[in-house]
Amino acid sequence: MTLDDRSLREHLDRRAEAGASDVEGIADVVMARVAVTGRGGWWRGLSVRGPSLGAAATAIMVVVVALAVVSPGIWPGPGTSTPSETAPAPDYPGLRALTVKELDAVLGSDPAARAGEIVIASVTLEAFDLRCYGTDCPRYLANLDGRIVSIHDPGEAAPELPGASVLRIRSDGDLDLLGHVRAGPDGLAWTLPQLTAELPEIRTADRAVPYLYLVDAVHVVTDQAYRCRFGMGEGEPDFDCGTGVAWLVPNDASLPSSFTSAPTGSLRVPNVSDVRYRMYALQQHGYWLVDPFVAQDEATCFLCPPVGAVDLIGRVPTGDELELMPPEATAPPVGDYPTDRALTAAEAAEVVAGFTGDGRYLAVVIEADMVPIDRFPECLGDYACPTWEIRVVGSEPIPVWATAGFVPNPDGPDAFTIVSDSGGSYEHGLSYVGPVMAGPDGFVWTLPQLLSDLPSLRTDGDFPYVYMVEAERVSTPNPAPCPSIAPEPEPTFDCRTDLAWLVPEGTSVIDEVTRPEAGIRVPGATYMLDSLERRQSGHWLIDPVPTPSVCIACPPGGAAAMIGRLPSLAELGLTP
Amino acid sequence: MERELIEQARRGDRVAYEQIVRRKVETVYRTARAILGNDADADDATQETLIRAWRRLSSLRDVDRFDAWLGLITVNACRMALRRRRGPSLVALPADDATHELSEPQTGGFEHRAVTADAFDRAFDRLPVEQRAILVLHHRDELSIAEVAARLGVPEGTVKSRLSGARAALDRSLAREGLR
Repeated sequence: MTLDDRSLREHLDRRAEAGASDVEGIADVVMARVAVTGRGGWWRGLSVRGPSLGAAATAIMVVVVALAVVSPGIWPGPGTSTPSETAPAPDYPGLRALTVKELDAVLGSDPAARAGEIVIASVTLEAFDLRCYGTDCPRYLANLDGRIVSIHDPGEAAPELPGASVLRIRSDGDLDLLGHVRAGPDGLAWTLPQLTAELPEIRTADRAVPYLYLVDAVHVVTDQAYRCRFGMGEGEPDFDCGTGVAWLVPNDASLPSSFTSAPTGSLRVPNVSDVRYRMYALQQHGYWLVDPFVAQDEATCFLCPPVGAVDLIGRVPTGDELELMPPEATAPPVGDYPTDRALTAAEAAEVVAGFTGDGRYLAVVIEADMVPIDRFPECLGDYACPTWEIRVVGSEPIPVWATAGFVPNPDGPDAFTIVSDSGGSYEHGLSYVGPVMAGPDGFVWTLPQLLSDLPSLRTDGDFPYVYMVEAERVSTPNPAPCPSIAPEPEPTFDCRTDLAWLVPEGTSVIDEVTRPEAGIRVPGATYMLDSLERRQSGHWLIDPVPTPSVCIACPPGGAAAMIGRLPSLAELGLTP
Repeated sequence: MERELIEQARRGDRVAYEQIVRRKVETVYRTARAILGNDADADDATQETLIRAWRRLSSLRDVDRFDAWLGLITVNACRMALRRRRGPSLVALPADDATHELSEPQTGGFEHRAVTADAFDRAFDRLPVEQRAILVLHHRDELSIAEVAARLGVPEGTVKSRLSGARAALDRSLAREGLR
C-alpha cells in the first residue's frame, strides 16, 4: 500500500488535531513548573534561579529526617553542616544516605546516564499539587541545592515516613520514589544477621508501614535446576523450585558447591529468571535493598531458610560506583606545579572561576577525570558547546570544550586552555588541547632531553602528545627577512612574522637572521594571556610539528606550535 | 517582537518566557500529538519540551534558530515519552467516524484503497519515533528538507534518505494491516 502525500497529510493532521487536550491548561502547568525550576547544569549560575519551592508547590509535610534512627555521630541532624557536604562519601550507603548536594552530583548533567540506578538520599519532598496533564505526572518536588527535580510515586510510597528516601533515577532525569529505609542499629545498612534477627518483630508490624531495608550481604544464585516435587511448581514463581534459586547470605558465609538446602543464615530472595548455567554459583557482594513483607510457606517457598523470604528491590551502588569524589581528591596535592604535578580538579575550578581572560587564554595542565555531558540540541559542530565536564566537590563542574569524538586520556595529565566564551552566554571553561607526555626524569622535559628525543618521536609521523619543556623563549622584534623567492605561505613559521625560539638557558646571542644552534622554532605572535618578554624563562607547553613545509630560521630541533607558558601556582593565584 | 521576547527569556525573564509558551504550546502539542498519537503522551511531551527549553534557553546561541531548536527538543521529548511508556502502547478505540475514508479515491498511478484512521494509526505507531517525526515535520508541518534538517540536527542528505526510508517503512507497516 502506498499512501499519496495528500492522504498522508490528512491522516497526520487528524492525529494532530484529535483529542481534547486543553493546550492553555498545559501552558499553565508549564509556567507553574517554570516558576519553581532553575536552569540546570553548569550554567545555573548565569541565570535567575527559581524561588523556593514554596512559591508554587504547597509546602507540606515531608521533612525527611534522614537517619533519625542512626546515631547522632553519623548524622547530626538537619540544618547542621556535616563533613559530607564537602567531603567524599566512602561511608555511603553503609553508614548514611546521600546529601542533596551529593545527589545533585550523582545526577550530574546527564541523569539519563544513570537511569535505573537506585540511590538513598536525605531529601525534603514537597507536594506537587499543580494540575498536570497526562499519565506521568510527578507527585513531589525536591530542591537539590538549586536543582529542582520532579519525583514520581509509582508505588504509592508513604512520604510522611521518617527515614531516607529510596529513589530510582529515570531516563528523563526525574526520580521515582520507591519508599523509605529504616536504618540498622549501626548505620544505614543492616548486616544480614541483624536483619534476620529483627525480621520476626518486623513482620508483626502492620503492612501499612512499608519500610525498606538495606542489607550488606552476598547475593547467591544457584546454577542448579531443581526438579519440582509433586505439589511444587504451582506456587509463586519468584520463590519456586526450578532455576535460578537465590538467597542473600552473610558476607563471611562458606558456601557448598551445590545446594540441597538453604545456606546457613540466609534469607531467601526471588529467583533470578535469566540466570545462566555456569560451573559455579553466581555470587555478588553489595548493599541490597529488600522489602521483608513477603508471606511464604513451605508450599510456595522452595529451599527457604527458617527466617523465610523477602522481596529484592535491587542493588544500591556504592559511593565509588557512583563516582562520588574519592578521599584522595580532597587531600592536599604534593609537589609544585607545574614541575612536579598537574593541577587538581579543585585547583582548576578555582583558577577557572577567577579567570578574567577577556578573549585571551591561559594554558594549564590538569589531572582529573572528565565525564561526558549532554550535547545540547543546537550544538552541531566541534567546540560549539562543552561536551565534557570535570566534576568538583563543592563547586560547579568545569565545562570542557572538545572535538567531536574526543576520548579522554585515561592516564596521566591533560593540557587545556582556559577560555572565555565568545558568545558571552557561558562562564569560562576549558578547551581541551591534548594528553601530556611526561619527561624521562619527571613531569617536565628539559630542552636537551626533548631535542634528543624529537628525531625518534618524529619518525612516528605524528605527535599525539604535547610536551612541557623548561627552556628560555627568545624572540626578535622584527619579521624575518624573506628570501628572494618567497616560499609558499606558511604563516606560523614563515618569514614576515616575528621569529621566536625555545633555546637552552643562557644562549647568548640570537641574530635575527641566524638560527640558533640548538633549539626549537616556535610561533612569534601570541595571544596568550601573559604578555611575553623578549627573553623569558619558563615552562612551556608545546606541540611539536612533524615536518613543517616552511620553517624559516629553523634550528635542528625543528618547529613546534606554542600552546602557552605554564604559570606557577602563585601566578595562578593559588597557594603554593 | 518574538526575537526580543526570546532574548529576555534567555536572560531569565519568566514573564517573557510565558508569552513564548503561550505562542508555541499549540504548535508543540500538535506536533507531539501527531507523532505520539495519544493525548496523554502528547501532554507529557509538550510539558517536557517547554520545561526543558526553559532550562536550556541560556545555551541558545542564535535566537533566530529558536523554532528549529524547540522542534528538536520536541522530537527528543517524544522519544523520551515513548521510552517511558511501560507495557503495551496505548491504542485509541475507534471513534464513530474513525473508519471513514479520509481521501477521495485516486484515479490512477497506483492502486488505492481507503486507509482507515485506526489502521493508519496502528501502522504509524509501529514506526520508530525518528521515522514518525520526519514524516510529521515534512508532510504535516510542511517543513522543507533544509528546515527538517535543522530540526533534527542532521545533514539535508540524511533527511532525504531518512524520509525515503520512513515512507517505505510506513508502506510496509500498512501492508501488515492488510492494505496491499
